[in-house]
Amino acid sequence: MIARRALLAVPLAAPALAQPAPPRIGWLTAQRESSLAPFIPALRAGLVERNLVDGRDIRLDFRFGEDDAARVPALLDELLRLPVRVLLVQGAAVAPVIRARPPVPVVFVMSSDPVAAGLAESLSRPPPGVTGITFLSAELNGKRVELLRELRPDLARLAVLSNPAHPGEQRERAEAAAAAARLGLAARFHQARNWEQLEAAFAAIAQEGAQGLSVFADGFALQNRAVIARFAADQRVPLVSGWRAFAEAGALLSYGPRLEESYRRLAHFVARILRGARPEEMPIEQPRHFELVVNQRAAAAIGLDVPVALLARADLVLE
Amino acid sequence: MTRRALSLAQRLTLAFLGLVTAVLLVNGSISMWFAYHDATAAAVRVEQEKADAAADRVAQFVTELEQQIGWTTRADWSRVPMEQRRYDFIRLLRQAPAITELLYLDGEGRERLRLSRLEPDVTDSGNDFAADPRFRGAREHRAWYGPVTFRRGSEPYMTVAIAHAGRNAGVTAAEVNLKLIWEVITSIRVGGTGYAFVTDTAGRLIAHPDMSLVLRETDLSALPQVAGAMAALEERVRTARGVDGRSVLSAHAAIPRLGWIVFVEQPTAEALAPVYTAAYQTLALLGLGVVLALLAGVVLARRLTDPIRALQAGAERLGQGDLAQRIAVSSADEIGTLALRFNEMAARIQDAQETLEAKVADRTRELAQSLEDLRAAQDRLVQSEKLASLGQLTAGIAHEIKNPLNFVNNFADLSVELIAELREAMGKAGAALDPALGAEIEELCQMLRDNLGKITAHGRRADSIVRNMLAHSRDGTSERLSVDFNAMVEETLNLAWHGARAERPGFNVTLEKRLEPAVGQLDLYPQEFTRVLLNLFGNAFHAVQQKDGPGFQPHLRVTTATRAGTVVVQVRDNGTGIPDAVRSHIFEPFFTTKPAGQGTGLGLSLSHDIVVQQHGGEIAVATEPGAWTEFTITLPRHAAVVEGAA
Amino acid sequence: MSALILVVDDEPDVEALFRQHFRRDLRQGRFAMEFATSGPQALGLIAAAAGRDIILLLSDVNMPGMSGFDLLIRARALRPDLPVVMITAYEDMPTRARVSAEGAAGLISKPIDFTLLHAEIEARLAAHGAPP
Repeated sequence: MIARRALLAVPLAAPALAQPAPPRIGWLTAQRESSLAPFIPALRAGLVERNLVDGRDIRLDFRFGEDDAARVPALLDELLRLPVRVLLVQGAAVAPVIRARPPVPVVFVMSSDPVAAGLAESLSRPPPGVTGITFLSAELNGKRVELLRELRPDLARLAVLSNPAHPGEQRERAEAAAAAARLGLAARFHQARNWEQLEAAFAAIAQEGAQGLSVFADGFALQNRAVIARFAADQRVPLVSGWRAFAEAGALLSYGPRLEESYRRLAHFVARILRGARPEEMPIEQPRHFELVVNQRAAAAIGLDVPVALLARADLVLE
Repeated sequence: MTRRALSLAQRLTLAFLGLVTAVLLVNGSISMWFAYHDATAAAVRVEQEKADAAADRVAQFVTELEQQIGWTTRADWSRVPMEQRRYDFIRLLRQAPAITELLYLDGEGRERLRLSRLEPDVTDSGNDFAADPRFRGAREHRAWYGPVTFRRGSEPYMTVAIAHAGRNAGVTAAEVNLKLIWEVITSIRVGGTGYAFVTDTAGRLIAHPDMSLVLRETDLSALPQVAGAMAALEERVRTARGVDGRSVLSAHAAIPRLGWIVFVEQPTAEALAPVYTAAYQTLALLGLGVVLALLAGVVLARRLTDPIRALQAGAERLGQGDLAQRIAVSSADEIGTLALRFNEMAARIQDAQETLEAKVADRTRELAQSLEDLRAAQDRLVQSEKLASLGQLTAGIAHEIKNPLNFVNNFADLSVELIAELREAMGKAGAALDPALGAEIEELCQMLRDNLGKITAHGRRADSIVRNMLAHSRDGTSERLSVDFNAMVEETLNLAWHGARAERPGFNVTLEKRLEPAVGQLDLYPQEFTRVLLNLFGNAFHAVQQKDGPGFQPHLRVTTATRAGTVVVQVRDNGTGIPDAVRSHIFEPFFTTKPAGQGTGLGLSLSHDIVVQQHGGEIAVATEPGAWTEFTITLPRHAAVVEGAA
Repeated sequence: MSALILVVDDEPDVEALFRQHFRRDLRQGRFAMEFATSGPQALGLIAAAAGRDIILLLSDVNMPGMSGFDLLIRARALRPDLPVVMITAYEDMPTRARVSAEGAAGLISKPIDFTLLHAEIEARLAAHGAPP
């Protein structure tokens, strides 16, 4: 299968993989390494699937911003000087990198809508030298509120925690607000981009007596998912988020794209670009599968029975 | 000898090679032509089957969805409580990841339930979908398939609406994300590098192994195969250019109810690989065949031309004179026969040549002999001419001398008579004459008479010489006769013996005659040969007389014998022999060992000439000085002498 | 009246020889001998001897100028009954034939046998009728 996929390459140019020195692939993110810990292996696996073994066929160079977005330009220069053949950019680093118009192809992975972020005109026609994957988090936020409601039918007060530094966060909030309004819920929005603000948010949420908590999935939240989950558990409040990692960390429910799949899909872009494809010829892709993960244990811990319908809908139930 | 540009063997080989190559080429071309057509037709068939199969698989994708949706279209489903319906929808969403949204419209077309993965769920919204094509189409056809739309210009979606069973049935409509057809499409194997893709009737790409192409809403209607399929042309399989520009063999099958067209494409090279393989095989076989033909041709040509070459070599050698050559070709065919005849011919030529050589040798011998004879005759002729001229000279001289000699003798004789008359006259004077004077006159007369006697004697001697010389130059009044040789020899011996005895009484010599009877008749000039014999006998008698001493028995032996073509006569005496100094001169004219006054020295010279010139024979002498002398005369039986030599 | 014998020879000594040989006959006057050394001279003698009886003409054959045979013809033209005897050294058949063909009375070969000649002359004298 791998061979067939490789042969489906559109460009006529001969494979550029057999270079004297393995081409370097740069990974640039503003977050910490730990925040992407689950996903890097998926990327590697996807590359290996396409016969791109790190060290043999390619070289992966990682640059982490350590939660400081201001470091991104310098890290970008670093990678460009290596030089790298392809840039993989994630999350908050995507916008500044794309605007910097680097001379190498860029493949991004971001949870928000690049069109809404003004980085691309349309999903099917990305700008020159750029393509990537988006998680469409915005739409799902409304769904998550719905699911929360299903989880706790008597939900009236909803707390939403988001990271303003996350691109597209505004839209996501708007979606959540619309969904809450549709459902007749009162939603309160809390923002935290660092630890202190997170603490403050916790205090505020505890104070307002929220009955449900929806955390927008981003790198910061992902890093602190355990803390957030414990906070929710302490508050005996069901927690929902977008990524499975949250459910695994203690959130009651997560509904979102299979991130591993998406990170794995990044390898497809890398492989094609290395073989000479131009990024703008490859449309920006959305996730194929969405998974609903229900943490039965967390539910039980706060004394919540998960409705059968929800359970039926769940793709994965954690005991 | 000029050679052709190509030898026979080479031409045969080339002919054979050419023939086989031509046959192979024709055969190969024809079979390749057929193979090409067969393979192409097979490839086309296969492509078609694949297209059909792919279409089935693609349709299967939708059919499965239909089936799954079908669980919510049972007749009694409308009577199922909402929770159950919700539950069924949830389950359907779980089972069909391609379905993004499910919609339940009741019998009047009102939206009763909406379940979405992305959008908020809706229950009993009351929205009226009665005019919606989903409702209308499903109610009309039971299953309705909407056109493919690209959400956000990116993801292909279509609606599948199934009407429920029963009266006043509702409709379940599902929004299907066709992106998930990718697994199906990529799993369709077409040879090694072939692939399948799906377009709608507008030529827009719905599914393709390269999802990027799909997500760009790629319009393939420009491709000839797509255009042709859209136009629903007869030809379902054609060679065309794929999306990437490569030459492909393309087949399509339509899924009419969906309005989709499924294409399977295989690079032409791969699709026609069997054809090319067959072609290469044919070419390889052709090549092999040519090589084999070449080898076989060479071998055959060699085998055919070897006998011919053997013939040629044999002929060459024969031509160069090696007649002992025989060609070793033993095949039973025409060449063998030819070789046989050739050998016979060579044998005959060899025989003929040997005979010829023998004959030539004989002739040459004869000719040499004749040449010898002619030379001898020529010599003799020349000699004769010389002698003739000499003879004429001598005859002339002799004649001229004869006259004065006559006068000498005549006057000498007359003078003798006159002196006698003088003496008579003196006698008559008698007493009147002074006796002293008379005696003086008498003495003078005596001296005169003596002188005249000497003159006469010398005159006669000169006369004899002249006569001998005349006899030497005698012209052809002599006759050639066939005589009894032995008889002639005997007669002549007798003559000589009696003559010798008459000349010197008391002369005695023992005569031994060994005359071979087989000698018989011989052609010769008897007059002259007799002279020769007389000469020899005379010399022999003279020799034995010289040697005469006490106890010496003079002995003369005459031998005749016959040889092949010759007769030999030998005269042997035990006389004084011939000293070495003399021997080489004895045949010279005027050479004599006899004292002056005896013999003219012409005898042996004359004998030599008679034997050699006149008779064409040979005369030789052997001697032991003081012991014996032997003369050997060899006469040819049938002389080749030229008659009448002057 | 006396018989005449003519002897023709280009050799002059022939006269001396004959005169010596026939000295007695000449001394006795039995016959006369006249000598010529050429044909014309001989013819002159014949002409001068008109009236005399030439009982014999002896002629050499080989003579310069007029040969013996020419002389024979002319002499016999002058005196048809003149007996002519030729003297020659060549006693061969062709000469003999010619001698008789030309009408000569005979042939004597050289060297001359004087005995025979004497006999011949005696015969001629006898025929002439002269007393011996």
